[in-house]
Amino acid sequence: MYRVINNVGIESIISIVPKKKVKLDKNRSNEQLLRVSRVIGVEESYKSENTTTVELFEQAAKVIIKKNSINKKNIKFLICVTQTPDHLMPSCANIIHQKLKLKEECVAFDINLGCSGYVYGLYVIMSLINNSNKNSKGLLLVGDTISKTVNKNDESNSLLFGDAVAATLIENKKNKKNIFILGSGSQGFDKLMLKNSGFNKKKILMKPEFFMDGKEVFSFAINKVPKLINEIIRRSKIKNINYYILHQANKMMLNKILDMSKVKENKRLFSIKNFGNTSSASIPVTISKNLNNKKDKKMSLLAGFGAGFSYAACITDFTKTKILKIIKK
Amino acid sequence: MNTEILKNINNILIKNFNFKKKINLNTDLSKIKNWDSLKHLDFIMQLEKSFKIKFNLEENYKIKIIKDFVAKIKLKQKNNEKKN
Repeated sequence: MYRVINNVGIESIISIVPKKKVKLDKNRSNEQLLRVSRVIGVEESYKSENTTTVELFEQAAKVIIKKNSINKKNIKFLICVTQTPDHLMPSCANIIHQKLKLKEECVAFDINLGCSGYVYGLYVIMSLINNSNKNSKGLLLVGDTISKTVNKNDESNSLLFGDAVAATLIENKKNKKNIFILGSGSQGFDKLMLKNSGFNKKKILMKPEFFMDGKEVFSFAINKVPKLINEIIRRSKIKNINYYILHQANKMMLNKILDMSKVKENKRLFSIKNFGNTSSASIPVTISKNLNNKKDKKMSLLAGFGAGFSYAACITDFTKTKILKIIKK
Repeated sequence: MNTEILKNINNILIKNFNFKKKINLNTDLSKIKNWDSLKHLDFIMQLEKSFKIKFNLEENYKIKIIKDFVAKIKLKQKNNEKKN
């Protein structure tokens, strides 16, 4: 699906990671861990341990509201994108709504998506803001505490998957243009899963375990993402893109995808080395890490892809966005 | 030239992937015990570095048999020579 949303923009972004850091020790690590570092490009990541997704969301929301002096009564939409909610019921958004003491008229709900979730979340909240009155603001919270689902004995995935959340403030902005392509793969839902994480016919399964068929996920990404990038550029006719910010899955793969799209190296932004794969937060974490101090033009192409073989791309402008420094809580 | 390429591939597998025995042109990497997707990507990276070539995206997992790697490396080296 191709859509253009006009007159809505991103006012501010903040990313938060938990304090506990897992770091690769190049002198002591085994060959498999060194391989993760060499191929996928991750050297350290952060773990939530005793912190929950909702707690991180609440902190991110409070910081972005304070730093932007937002009147809470203007927050008309609150969307949380996560696959590691504190509870299956109620939604994270309803919990945050009450913790922040937002107005009852504020619409609050969750979206269950992983690595494509930030772009999907932007699309949904921008669409809602676009159809509401001019002072309305939307708060998008994305992220996971995915490390809790990784088997503790699986050193590679423990290093690779990091926890992080991000808050994004959306509002009406004249002359801003946002272009989206969203879609869902016709197969592959079983290649990237939290196994034993729900209900089935016979029993309740609540021991989530992360599962990824690396080869199939890689194949999906390399077949889909270059086409996605080319299509959004072709259809939008926007050629002056300053930055390419892709979901941080695998640095080697991302470089090959961007090579294929003939993207210059200075336009490629990464965060995987210092934060790992942070699921739906990886795009905003990459924005926070790289664009926090830059004063130049920031027309950016975002692309997310992953669980469910869901994918999404967006071209948007961060030139006047207040991008705050990453906080370690 | 094939022998030289095969010798280099063998060196990479012994040095970086703990292969005990030498492989031959008919070896299928996907059938090697514990050969996973991460090792395969690492192997591709090592080949790119060693032979100063670039595999494109589709080739990453498509090529599994050593003789196909040898043929592809040979072709890429030839193309590089032409460009230079």
